[in-house]
Amino acid sequence: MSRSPPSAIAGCGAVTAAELEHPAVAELLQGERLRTVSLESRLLLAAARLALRDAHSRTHGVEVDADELGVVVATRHAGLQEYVDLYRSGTEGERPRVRPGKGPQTGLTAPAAEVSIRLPAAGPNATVCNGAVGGLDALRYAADRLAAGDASAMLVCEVDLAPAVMRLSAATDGEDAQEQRATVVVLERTDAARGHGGTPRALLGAIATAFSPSGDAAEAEARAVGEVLASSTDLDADGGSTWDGNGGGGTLAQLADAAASLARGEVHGPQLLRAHDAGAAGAAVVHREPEEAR
Amino acid sequence: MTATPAIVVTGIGVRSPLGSDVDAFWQRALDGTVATGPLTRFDTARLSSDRGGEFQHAPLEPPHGGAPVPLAVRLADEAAATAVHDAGLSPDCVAPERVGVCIGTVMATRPAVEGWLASDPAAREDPRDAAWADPSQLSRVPARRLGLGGPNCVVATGCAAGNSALAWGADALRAGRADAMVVGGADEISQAMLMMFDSFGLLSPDAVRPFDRDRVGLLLGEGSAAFVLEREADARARGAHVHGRILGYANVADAFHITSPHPEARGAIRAMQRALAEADVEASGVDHVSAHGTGTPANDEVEARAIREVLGSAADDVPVTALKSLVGHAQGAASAFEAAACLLAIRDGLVPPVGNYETRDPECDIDVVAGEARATPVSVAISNAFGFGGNIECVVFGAP
Amino acid sequence: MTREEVVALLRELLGEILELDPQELDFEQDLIDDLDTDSLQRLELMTEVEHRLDVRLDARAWREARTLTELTELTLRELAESPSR
Repeated sequence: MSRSPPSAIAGCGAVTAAELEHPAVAELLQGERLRTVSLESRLLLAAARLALRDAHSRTHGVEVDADELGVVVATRHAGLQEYVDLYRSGTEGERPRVRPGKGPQTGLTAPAAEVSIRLPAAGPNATVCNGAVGGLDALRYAADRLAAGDASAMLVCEVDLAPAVMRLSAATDGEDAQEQRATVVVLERTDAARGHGGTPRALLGAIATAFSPSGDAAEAEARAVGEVLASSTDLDADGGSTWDGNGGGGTLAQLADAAASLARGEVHGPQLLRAHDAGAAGAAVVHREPEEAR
Repeated sequence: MTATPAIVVTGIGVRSPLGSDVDAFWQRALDGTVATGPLTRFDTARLSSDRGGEFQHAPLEPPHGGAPVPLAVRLADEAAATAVHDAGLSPDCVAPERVGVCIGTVMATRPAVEGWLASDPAAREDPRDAAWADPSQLSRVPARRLGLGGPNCVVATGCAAGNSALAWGADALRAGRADAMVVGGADEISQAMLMMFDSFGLLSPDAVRPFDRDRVGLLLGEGSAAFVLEREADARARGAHVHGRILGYANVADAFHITSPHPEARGAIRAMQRALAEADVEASGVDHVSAHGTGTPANDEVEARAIREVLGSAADDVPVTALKSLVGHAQGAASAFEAAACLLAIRDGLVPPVGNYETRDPECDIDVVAGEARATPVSVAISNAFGFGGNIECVVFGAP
Repeated sequence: MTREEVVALLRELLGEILELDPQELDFEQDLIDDLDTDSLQRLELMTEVEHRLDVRLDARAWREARTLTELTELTLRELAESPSR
């Protein structure tokens, strides 16, 4: 039976493209040279700083050393538009050329790299792609690194904007109207969070992902949920609720909302998050710290 | 505390410019065969180099019709199938829903957008259905073909991705999330990446010369290598052949610059030290280093500094190879090719030579294997992978 | 192209790259130690100049230059050696 090691959601932050110009968000990026940096990277950097502030406010001023701070990003399209623009600039027009500053942003790994360089965060660094479920893979990677002692805190990030190249379709539906937003969750080891007297928003319990080779996402989701529930039998199930990871903003955004709702006392009991796409599925549980542990 | 389960490699599959049969790949590597040459699929007229490590052997077309499948996906699919066959993995010995797939890549399916952009707009498929819009295909297509329902994802950690996938798979096995993991790396050459590296002035006009005093840059390569990983106890119990072990791994961020490595090799040193510490191997216990060795002035000098710093005086006698000298920089597949070479070096006690190496660079004070393969017992090998943007993953391999 | 025009071009381009007021750039300041440019930014400056002036610059000399004044001299030298435009 697989079980994720205990970790705490110490803080959360989210920034939408529309909010980037707001003074409170712009202040988070003040002093940064961002001319060549993608929108994804800028949103993620701002969200990361917001999340760290949120976590900081709950940790009585404890700072995390850069070497102990890691970053993992879930994305599908990071750098896609930059890739298209670079390709076009180098192949079209009378004098095709490629600007060197634009190149690094064409990669899926660019947002994770930019966040690590600018915060800085020199701990583990990864980027994962798994459709609608990537956010859960990112959470689990972060939990693994914390359990292994590779980091004291991990920034778990999700950013998936709708690149212009994918909006050539004339059809309009919910997918095309996806909110352009980046979400960051700060994950810490539970014992460390307790050790410095902090008040995490919530605890992260079991996480599971599965894949259906036949495309039966419901089957894969049932397996993932079953695995998570089997690992969560010690949780008080009273009043728990379910969150749809396929809801607006992405899986991590839904998980952050669940953690926030728990922290505000709006919901109680284990909160089950479930998500799926055409082939993969995943589930995770967040819950409040037991009374006796606080 | 429960002991961390030992992780072993039970299957290998390769699709590379050096060949698509593991033995042929290895023999050519030992011979120092340089597989980079004139590119045939790309417009190099405006580039400073017309060379690269193209995959020459046409991969199998998928059995069904439909939209063209990106080359990287086909290569990942084939390498994975070969690895699974090599491991003798079947539903009789491991439940398919307990076998996951994790493929590392730089660009995944993104290069396929080039053909889409070049096509008649009226005839283009909906971008939401396009392969280039879904990087996950790299791991999902092999899983579909092989009927594998375990944890599945693509790790896109830049040039470190092959090693990252190995680490990801080992994590899954250690945590009991799967009973076997098919892991590896895959990428294809693209016009965009050729143009990007050319804009950096980093393309070599002719060949890749890692650690050579006169090195000027890299060449892009492509392909895929895949492995089956299992917990050792499970592999031995079913009588699987064990190619070697994954003793340890470490992932850190350089956190310095989006293209340049930290000049004092800060991240590289930390990653190598952590990986060796996890493997419980002292510097004196390292028998071989498989370098990231891109052939660029900056990377090789910094990497040599890291090797010297980590191994100390032992670095005088630890043979270093750089497979990118033979196949180019295959991006996400690079460290996957290098992992295969480490396992085979351990098996045969032979380290491949660094291709095109002629003149020692005094700034690269390491033991470069030059000219011909070096015969030397290899029980422990460390493989370095340094990604663009500073993602660093080092993996330590051990004898079976 | 006159010296003044090259100076104005370098000032404009580096100001854009560094997101600074071009008039704030001191041509005697060290590009690395004072202006805090990195290798990618200096490379971008070179390729922009090449594109704007339709000229090929000496990449090694450009990398080794430490001030905007030195870059001005490099550019003027190359323009003088190139076919007239």
